[in-house]
Amino acid sequence: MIKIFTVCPQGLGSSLIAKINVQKALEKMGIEGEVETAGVTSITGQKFDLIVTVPEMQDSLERYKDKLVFVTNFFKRDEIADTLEKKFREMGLIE
Amino acid sequence: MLLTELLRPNLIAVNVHVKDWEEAVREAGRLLVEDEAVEPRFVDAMIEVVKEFGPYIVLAPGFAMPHAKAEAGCLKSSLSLITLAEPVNFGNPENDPVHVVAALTAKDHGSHIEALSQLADVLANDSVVGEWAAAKSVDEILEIVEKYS
Repeated sequence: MIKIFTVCPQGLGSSLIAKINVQKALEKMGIEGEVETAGVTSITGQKFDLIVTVPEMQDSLERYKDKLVFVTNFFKRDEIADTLEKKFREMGLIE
Repeated sequence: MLLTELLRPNLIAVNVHVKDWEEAVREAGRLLVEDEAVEPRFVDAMIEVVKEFGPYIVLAPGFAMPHAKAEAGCLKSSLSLITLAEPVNFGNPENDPVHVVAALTAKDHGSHIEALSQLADVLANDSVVGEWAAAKSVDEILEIVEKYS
């Protein structure tokens, strides 16, 4: 079970779109995961495997840099799936 | 809640003339204010978010979704959508220029998820933003939503 946070400044609009599309991407890959939205501050102290976010958040999330995945288009499901798959492989979560 | 319950006909305008991104957000916000979906201060809050965090609200090529927290003056969950007569840049290198601006306000974290999920389905089609931008009426905008839902 992979735990993923989608993070935007407010944890409300774009992170929700990201969550929906990350969930669809996981389904497509057949990977079991829990996806939740969050604002920058609300992930402090939480356990997770990955953060999916936008490039603008890079500085605020610097301390999690090994766990960050950036997307520039929250609506491109194929792109999100490819990016995640690459990251999962890098992290050794999938073969 | 369905997408069309969030995006009601009186919250849509086509071919809106604006000179820059800030005016584009204000115009989309004005529809929310006129519908009494938000207090006027909510519109300022949406602009402040962009100024503070950058143009991350340009979520896809040509498509921006400004929004602010419920505490900034949300009265009822709603989505307004305007198409621009001339596209404007938000300063997002990947996804500028913007042709369609959809302003979101949500009263809580739950009620709008279904509608946004439907919006995500609609926008998963690459051609949608272009089709919206070319639409000449509010009905046409809604027909495009129906077509891809």
